[in-house]
Amino acid sequence: MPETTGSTAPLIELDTVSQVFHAKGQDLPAVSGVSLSVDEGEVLCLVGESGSGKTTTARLAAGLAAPTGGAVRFRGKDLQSMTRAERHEYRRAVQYIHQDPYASLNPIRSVRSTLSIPLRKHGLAHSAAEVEQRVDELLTTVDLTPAESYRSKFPHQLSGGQRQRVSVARGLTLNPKLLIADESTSMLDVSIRVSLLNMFTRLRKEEGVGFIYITHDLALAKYFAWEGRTAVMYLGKIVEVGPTPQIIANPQHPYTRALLDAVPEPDPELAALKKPGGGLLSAEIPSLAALPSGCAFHPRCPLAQDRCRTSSPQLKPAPGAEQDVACMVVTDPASSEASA
Amino acid sequence: MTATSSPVPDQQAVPTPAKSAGVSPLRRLFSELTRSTSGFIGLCLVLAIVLLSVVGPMIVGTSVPGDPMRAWEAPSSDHWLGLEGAGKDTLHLLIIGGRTVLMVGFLAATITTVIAVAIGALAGYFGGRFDAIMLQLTDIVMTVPQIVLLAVVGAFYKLDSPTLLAVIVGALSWPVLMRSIRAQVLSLKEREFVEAAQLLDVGWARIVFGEIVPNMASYILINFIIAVTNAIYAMVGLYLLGLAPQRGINWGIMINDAWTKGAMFNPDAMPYIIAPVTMIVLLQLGLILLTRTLDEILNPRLRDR
Amino acid sequence: MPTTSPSSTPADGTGADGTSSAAGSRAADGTSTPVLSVKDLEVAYRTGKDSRVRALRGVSFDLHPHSSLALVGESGCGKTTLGLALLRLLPALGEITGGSITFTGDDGRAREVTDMTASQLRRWRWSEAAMVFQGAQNAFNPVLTVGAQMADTLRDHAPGRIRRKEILERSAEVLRSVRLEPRRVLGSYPHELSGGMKQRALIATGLLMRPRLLVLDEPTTALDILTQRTVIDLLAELREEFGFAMIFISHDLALAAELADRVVTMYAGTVVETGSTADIFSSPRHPYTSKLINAVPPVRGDLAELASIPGAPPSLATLPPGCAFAPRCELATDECRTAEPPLIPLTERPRDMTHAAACIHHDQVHHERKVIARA
Repeated sequence: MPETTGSTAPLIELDTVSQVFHAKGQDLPAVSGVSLSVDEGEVLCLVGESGSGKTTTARLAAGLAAPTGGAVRFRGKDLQSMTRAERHEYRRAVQYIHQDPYASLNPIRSVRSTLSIPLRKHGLAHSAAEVEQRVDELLTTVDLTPAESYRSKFPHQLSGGQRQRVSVARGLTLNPKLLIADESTSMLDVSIRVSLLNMFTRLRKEEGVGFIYITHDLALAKYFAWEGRTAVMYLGKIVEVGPTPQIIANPQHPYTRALLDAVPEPDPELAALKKPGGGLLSAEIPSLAALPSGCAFHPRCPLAQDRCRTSSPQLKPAPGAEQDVACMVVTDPASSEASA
Repeated sequence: MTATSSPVPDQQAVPTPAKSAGVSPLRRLFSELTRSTSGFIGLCLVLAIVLLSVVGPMIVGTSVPGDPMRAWEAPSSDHWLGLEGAGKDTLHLLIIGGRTVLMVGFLAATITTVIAVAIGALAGYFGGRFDAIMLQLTDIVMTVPQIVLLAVVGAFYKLDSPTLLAVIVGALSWPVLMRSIRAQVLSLKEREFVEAAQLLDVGWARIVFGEIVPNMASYILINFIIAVTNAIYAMVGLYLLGLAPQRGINWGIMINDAWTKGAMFNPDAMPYIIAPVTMIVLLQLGLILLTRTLDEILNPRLRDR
Repeated sequence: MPTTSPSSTPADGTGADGTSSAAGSRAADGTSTPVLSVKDLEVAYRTGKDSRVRALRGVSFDLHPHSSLALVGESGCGKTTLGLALLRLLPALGEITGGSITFTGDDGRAREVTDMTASQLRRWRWSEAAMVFQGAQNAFNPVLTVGAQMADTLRDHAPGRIRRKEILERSAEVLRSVRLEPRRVLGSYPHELSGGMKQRALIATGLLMRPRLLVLDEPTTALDILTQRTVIDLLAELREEFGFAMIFISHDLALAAELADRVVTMYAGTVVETGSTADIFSSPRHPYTSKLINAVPPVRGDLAELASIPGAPPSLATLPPGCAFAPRCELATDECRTAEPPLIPLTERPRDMTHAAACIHHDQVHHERKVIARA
C-alpha cells in the first residue's frame, strides 16, 4: 500500500521458521517449519491449544525472538540482516499487543505518560500541546472517551478491558501497519473481548492495519478473520491453513474438527447435537520434549493409520477444498487404501 | 476478574476509598506515614535532629568559647548539659556536632545507592559479560575490610575531610544492595511492560531507568535509609576507635574525646558522654522506625489492599 | 441439560414445555422439595469504618435435586459473591445482612444455612454441599500431594474416624469417575499435573463426600478449548452418576447453554432474569440477557454480528436510582430511572422454571442475531 513503492513483498513473511528452546538439557521444538505471510489490511488468525506454538510464532513475527531456523522478512528484508534504519522502520510498522492487561502496563505510569513516551521518542509529537492532542486522538480511537477522564489514570484505577484498550492505544502510537494481538488465554469478559475485536476490525478497514490474532477459540477466529485466513497449529506446526469460512464450514484436518466440536455453542439446541469428547482419543497434548513419531497428532487422532506413526505429513492442498492440510489421510486417501 | 483465585469481590464491586484516587503518591505516603504511631515517631525524631543540626548552628554560631578553668563543670541553668574537658559548653558542641554526622551519613548513602542502582540495574538488564564482570567486582569489593582500609588511608593521607570519609564508606558499601537490585531487575525485565517498551524502541536507558528502576522506588528508598544508618555507625565507629582524624567537632569525636580524656571515670563528665550517644541512638532509632513503617506502607506483600 | 440426555432432540428443547426430559421426569418422582431455597438474600461488604456496599440485593431462587443452574453476568455483577454466600464462605469483609438460605438434605430435614454455627458449617460443607473454586492452578496447596489433600478433606469432614484404606478407596473412586488414573494422580504434586487434570482433580475433591449440592465457580475459564470440552462433558456425566444438584458461575453464556437446565442472569447484585435455558436462549426478556447472548460468538452457522454491551457495570457503591441497567439500555425510559422493576413472571413453567424478567419493557426486547455473511 502507501510508502512501499515497487515492492511486492508482503509486509511480514515467515519463511519456514523454526524455534527450538533449550530447557533442562532437552530440545523443545516450539515452532518447526512454519511459513505464513500477512499484508497491510489483512487478517490472519493463529489457532491452537496452549503448547501449539502459536504465541511463539507470533513473537517471531514481532521480532521479540530470533528464529533458530528459517527467516522472518519485513517487506522482503530479513530481520537478521537489517540496517539500523530498516530495523527502525520495521519496529515502527509492527507492534505486539500482550494478552495480559494486568502485566503489560507499567504500574507507575499514567495513561498519558504511557502514550507520550513513544510519541516523543520517535518525534511524532513535539510540543506539549501536540502530545496532548495525539494522546486524546489515540484514546478516542480505542473508545476510551471522553479522553480527559482517562489521561491521568493509573493502571490500577482502570478495569481489565480499559487496560487492554490502553495497551492497544500504546501499540498504535507509532502508526503501525501490523498489529499482533495475543488473546490466547484471555480471561476478559466475552463482551469486552468482542468490543476489542470490533475495534480491531474498524482499524483494519478504516486505517488499513493488518492483524495477526492469536486465540484458542475458533468461534472468535470465525468472527474476526472471516475476510482473512486462519492457520491451525499443533505442536509447532501448521496443520491446516486457508480462508477462514472454509476452515470453519469445511474443516479437513481431524484436529481442526476437534477444535470446532469443542467450542461451546451459545444455543442449547445446537449444544445438544454435539457428540461428547470432541472425537479425540486423548484430551492431553503430548510434551514438546517427547514428540510422537510420524504425525505428531496420531496418538489423539480418530483417523490415524499405520503410516501416520512413521512418516510425517506435508502441508498440501486438500482435494475438493480451498485450504492446505497436513494430513495424509485427507490429502492422500488412495495410498491409505493401499496400506490398509 | 476471573483470573484471580482469591474469594474476594470483583474490583469494580468494592470501591476503594475515594481518598486514594487523584492525590499525589508523595502526599499519600506522607499521610499514611503520619497515621502510624511508629512512623510518626520516627519521622519526628529524624526531622527534629536534622533541624537541630542544620538550623541550630546558624543560631548559636559555630565557634565555641572554652574556659579550661571550668573543665567538667556539672549542668547548670547557664549550661544545661555542663561543660567538657576544655570548658566548652556541651550542648553547644552537641548542636554543632550533628552536621558532619548527617552529612557523612547521607552523602555515603547517596553514593552507595547511586552506584548500586546504576550497576545493579544495568548488570541485571544486560546480563552477559558485563554482568559477570560486575559480579566479580562486587566479590572483590565485599572482601575489602572497610575499617582496615580506612585506617590505612588515614595513616598515609591526611584524612581530614569528612567528605572523603563519606566517599570511601559509600564506595565500599554498595555491593550488597547492588546484588539485590540486580536480582529484582532480573525478574522485572521479564514483565510484559518492559517488552512493550522494547517494541516501541524507546532506547535502553529509558527502559532501565524510566520503566524498570521506578518500580523499585520504595525498595530503593528503604535501602537508602538503611545505608544512612550503616554509614553513621561506620563513621562513629571510626572516630570512636580514633581511626579517623580528630579535627572539627562531631558526635563521634565527642565520644572519642570523652574516652581518651578519661571522662568515663568522672561522674561530673557523664552528660558529655551520654549526650552524643543519646543523639546517635535517637537518630538511628528514628531512621529504623521510619524504614520499618515505610516497608509496611510500600511493600505490597505487607500491605493489606 | 440436553447434553445429559442423548435422546433429547432440538425439537423438545423449543416446545411449549421449556424444561425437558431428565430433570422433568425426576420431578415427577415426588422429590419436589428444593435442595436449596434462597429467599431475599442480602450481602454487604464493609469498605470502611461505617461504610458498606450492598453486593447482593434481594436474591431469591430455588434449586431442585439433580437440576443444574447457571449464574451468569459480567465481572462485578455479584455472581461469585452469591456462590460464596451460599456456602457461607464470604471473605472477612463480607456479611450476610438479610434473607435466608434453606438447605434440605437427603433426610428431608430443612436446615437454615444462615443460622449454622461454625461446627455445623464444618460438618455440612463438603459432606452435603461442596464448592469448586475458580483458578484450578492455585486451588491446591503446592507442597502437598493431591492424595494428601484429598485425605485431609475426608478426615476433616467425614463423620467419625475413617481408616487409611477407606480414604484411598474413596479417593481412587472419585478420581476414576473424573477419568483420572488414581495411581498416578494421588502421589503427584499439583505442578506435575496439567491444567485440565488439576481442574478434574479439584472436581473429584468436591465429590469425595458425595454432596447433594456442588457449586462451581468458573470451572473452565482458564482452560484450553479441548480441555474445557472434556470438563463440560464430564460434569454432565457426573451429574447423572452422582445425582447432585449443581450451581455453576460463569461469564460465558455458551457454557450455560451446554450445561444448565436453568439460567439466572445477575446484574449489579440482583437477579434480572431467570428461566429455563431454552426460554432464556430462544427469547430473553431482559435487554441485558439479550445483549449477553449476542456477545458470544457462535461457531456454527452464518456469520452473525456481535455487539458488545456499551458502558461498564455500575459501581455498587453508587447505584443509579431505578433500574441499574438503565444507563446502558436503549429501551430505558424515565419510568425505568425512577423505580427499580421487580421480577415480572412472564411464562408459567413447572418446577420453578417460570420465566421472569425484571424489565418493564420486556415485551419490547426483540432478540435476534444480525447475519453479516452466509456460511
